[in-house]
Amino acid sequence: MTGRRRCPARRIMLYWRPFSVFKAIAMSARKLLSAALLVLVSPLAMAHAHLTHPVPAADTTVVAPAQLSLGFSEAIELGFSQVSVTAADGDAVALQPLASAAGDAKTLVIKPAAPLAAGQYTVHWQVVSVDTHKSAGEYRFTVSP
Amino acid sequence: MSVLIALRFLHFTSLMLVFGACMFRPLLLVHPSQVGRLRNLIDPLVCLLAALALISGVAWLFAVAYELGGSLDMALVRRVLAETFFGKVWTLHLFACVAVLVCLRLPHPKLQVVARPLSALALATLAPVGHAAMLEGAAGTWLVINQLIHLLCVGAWLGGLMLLMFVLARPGDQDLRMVLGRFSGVGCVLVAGMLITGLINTRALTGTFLPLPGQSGFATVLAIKLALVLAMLGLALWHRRQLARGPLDIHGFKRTVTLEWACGLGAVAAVALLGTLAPTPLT
Repeated sequence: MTGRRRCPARRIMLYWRPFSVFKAIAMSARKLLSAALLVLVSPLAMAHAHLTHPVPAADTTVVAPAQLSLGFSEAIELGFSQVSVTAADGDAVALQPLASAAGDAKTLVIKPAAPLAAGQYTVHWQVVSVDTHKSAGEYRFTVSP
Repeated sequence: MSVLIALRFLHFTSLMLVFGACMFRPLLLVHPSQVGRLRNLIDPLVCLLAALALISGVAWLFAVAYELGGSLDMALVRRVLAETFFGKVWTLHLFACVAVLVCLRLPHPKLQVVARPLSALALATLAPVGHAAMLEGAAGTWLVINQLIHLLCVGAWLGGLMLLMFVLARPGDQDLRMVLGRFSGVGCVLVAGMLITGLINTRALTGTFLPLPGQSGFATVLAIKLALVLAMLGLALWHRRQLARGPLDIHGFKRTVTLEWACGLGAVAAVALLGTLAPTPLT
């Protein structure tokens, strides 16, 4: 009988019996349930990076900020992302090298080389998200005198 | 962009077929009448598929580098490999692809066994690349694991169907009913895993279990994919019923198994396109 037990064909045949099939499905289902719960209850995330919370926010008027921060919906590949800021007259604002926020790969931090003068600014961003997708956009904010 | 879609399709398909063929070999091709064909036809074919997987994998890397940096020089490719998350995963992935190819190319029975976990590793390293990487923390890990199970189930299923087509083409004097029974039993578990993980993926990426076609390009392609999968499932259930009933109609089986396999490849093609689209519209 040991030869019979060792035969792989026999072992596989067990699955063939309908009950075993249901049991196997139920087992894999239970294993997946915990995974499912975790993914299902989490709020909707969006593949391809979306700009979710820029600071200062779009179309607002603020006192000259020391830095801009761009919060995205997913982690950003810093080495392949660019952000530029232009003043109302179209001149590019000199910026320090692009960096991500400490311990947060989803947020980019942009520091102007010199304090921003009053006026309207446009921020152009082009980023590569961790799933290697490119996305781009722009928004405006105003620095009050 | 379209080059990347084609490469994704080629890479996914060849790697899945290699994995499935490696896994189902000991299950479907054990009869002595199959040994000759195994050596002359199926082994070289699987080896060729592994080579195709490696070539398309390297090409995929170059395509991504071109898309990110706009050029094709080695410095850029090295930067992609070293600096991005994709690159780090891809380094491991390409090593696994090379190892699979070497194992399949060298004619040694032990290496054929080693090729099985290696091809699983190659397929598994595809999981964290792409949309499944978008979440962070625990949910992100679970989504990648979910994607991993999905890939392994689909790969085993498609590769197994390919071997089944070979067996049906020239069954020799073996008991086909037993071979089909074995395949069908394992196939049930695979299909269940595939459907559950697929639904979890859909929910995580789009926010609903069934995004209505027409809402976005992603939803439309996803609906087409779902239709193909349901067709596959219907054929699989039909096969099971045929098997449980009276005598086998081998010619009919051959046709419908091929059709089922074609549906599967169509679904993979849809995935190749889905991976480049945004699940939720960019505003």
